Amino acid sequence: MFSQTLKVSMSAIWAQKLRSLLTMLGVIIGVAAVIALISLARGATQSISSKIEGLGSNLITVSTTTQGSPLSSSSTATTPLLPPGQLTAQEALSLGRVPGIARVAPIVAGSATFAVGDTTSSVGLVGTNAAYQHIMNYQLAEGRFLSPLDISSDANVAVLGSQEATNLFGAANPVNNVMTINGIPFKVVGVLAPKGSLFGQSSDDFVAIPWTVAQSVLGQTNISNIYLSAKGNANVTALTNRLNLKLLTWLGSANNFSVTTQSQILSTLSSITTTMQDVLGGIAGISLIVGGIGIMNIMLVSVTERTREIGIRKAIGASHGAILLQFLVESLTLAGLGGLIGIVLGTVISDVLGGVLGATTTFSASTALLAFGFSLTVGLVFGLWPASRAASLHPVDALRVE
Amino acid sequence: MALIEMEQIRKSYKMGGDYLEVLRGISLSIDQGDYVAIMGPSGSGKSTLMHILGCLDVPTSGHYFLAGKDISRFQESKLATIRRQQIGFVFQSFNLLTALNALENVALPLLYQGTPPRIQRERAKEALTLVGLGDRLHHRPSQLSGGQQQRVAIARAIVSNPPLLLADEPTGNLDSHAGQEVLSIFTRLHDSGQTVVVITHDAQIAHHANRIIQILDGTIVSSQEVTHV
Repeated sequence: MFSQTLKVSMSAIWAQKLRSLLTMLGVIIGVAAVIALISLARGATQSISSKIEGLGSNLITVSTTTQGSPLSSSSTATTPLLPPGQLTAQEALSLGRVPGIARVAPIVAGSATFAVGDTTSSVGLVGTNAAYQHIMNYQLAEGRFLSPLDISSDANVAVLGSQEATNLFGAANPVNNVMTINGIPFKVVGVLAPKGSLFGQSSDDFVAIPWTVAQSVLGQTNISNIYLSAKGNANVTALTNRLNLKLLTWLGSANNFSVTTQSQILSTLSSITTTMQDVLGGIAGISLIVGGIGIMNIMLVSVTERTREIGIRKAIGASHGAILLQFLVESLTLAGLGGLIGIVLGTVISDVLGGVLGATTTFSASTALLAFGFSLTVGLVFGLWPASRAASLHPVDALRVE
Repeated sequence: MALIEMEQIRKSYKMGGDYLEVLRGISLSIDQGDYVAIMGPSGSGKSTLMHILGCLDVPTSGHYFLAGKDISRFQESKLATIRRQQIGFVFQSFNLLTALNALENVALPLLYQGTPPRIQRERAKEALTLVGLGDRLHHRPSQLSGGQQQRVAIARAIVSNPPLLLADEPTGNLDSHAGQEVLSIFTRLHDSGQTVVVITHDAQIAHHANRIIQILDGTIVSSQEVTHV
């Protein structure tokens, strides 16, 4: 009986093709929006997560929030006298002895002017040590990275990010050539392989030199950031607590620094994207409900138009349940068909949009299933009232209608 | 044995503030296998009587025994079951579903009885062959003449072998030739043992029956056997 009822509903829908399509449009648009938006959002989340993981495994970042002070001629680099709230290089490097820490890279950062012949550029200068390459997961394209000897001997050597190498040297190999940083000559010893960009910020346009040299080039005595990597088996939470404790004794106040782990960044990101998906899902859900009201409207019209048909069916023995089923199946079919068309349309839209925006999209079967289930629910809920009106018609009254 | 037994059937409708009594104590008895015509002018209450006979409506008071069961107080859901099992309707305006072809229209009562589709088709085909439309199975109502449509409606009424065939002005929308065809089908069905009740205002049509019950202003004024020559 059910399959025949389905046939009856399909023929009723087919008999009014244009009207049925317009009725389904609300559901189609709702479901297509859900599918397209969610797969774009998921694609974006995945590409951002994989880039954050690419920043370095087990990365912990310590940032100080106070500005560096100019290097005064009276103090020496070995025993710096810094105002409270600033980190010395010795303190930074001593973090390497904290249990669970694998590598430490002190960062002295600032901007400087780079020149090769007539070509100049002004980008970020990073003063660091040999550990930086491993912590940040950089591969070498040419030459070598900074060595411990470069640091201890205050060597004027530089390693270029791939973008900066192209800016300054074009297609030529920069290794063993000379460039100037704020007018001081440096020998290029290596070029890094490109890593791409994150949040619109390139990881490839900077120049790395020994941190000891960077302090004198930039006129700073402090360390602005420290990048650390945890050992593979380390308990990151406990490690963060130990780091916080040490930094608190050095810097006086928790306001002067922050310790960020990669898992914190990832969890912040995932909470942002979850919220985003919920909001998108909510908006799409509202449009589905509007679509459901459209279905209800048309089903009410349809019941009125087909009052006589209902009377005939009742006269020849159709029960309340049979009429109810007939109209419910019809609204369910409208909503379900709308849902299926919406899924196909949404997938096409997200593919096209992904291609145009150059973003990756991730089709999610569970989202599609959820959207389909939701549109069926909408069909059921909004079909119930018209169907029960049809089923409750009195046969004599229904037959009297022309 | 009486298929239909009515005792003091009354039906009144509320019109504005007043009650309008349409049926004022109808008592009648129709035997199984009988062919009865219920005659009366318009406004006499014969349509209301037909609705009650056909279990489309219930009386305000009185008792209606159909096949020995008092159904005068049944709810709509139980009446639907009675209609499904005991009654075949033929209407003046055919009342076929325009979207379905002849075969599907005839099979409809069987669908509501839960008959398997294959048997539905077989029996619908038999019923259509019986009314002489074995070659019009897949025609839609709009592709059939009025007489043919009414014959499809008769096939639909008898497809599930109901004890009672109830016809309301079955020839009212037909020319005399098509009307004669319909009446001869009724006679044939009656000859094979079918109980037939025809409601009409036309004495000529009523005379095809065995018995004529005349009603006027909601009461029975006469009940006569018809002598066929």
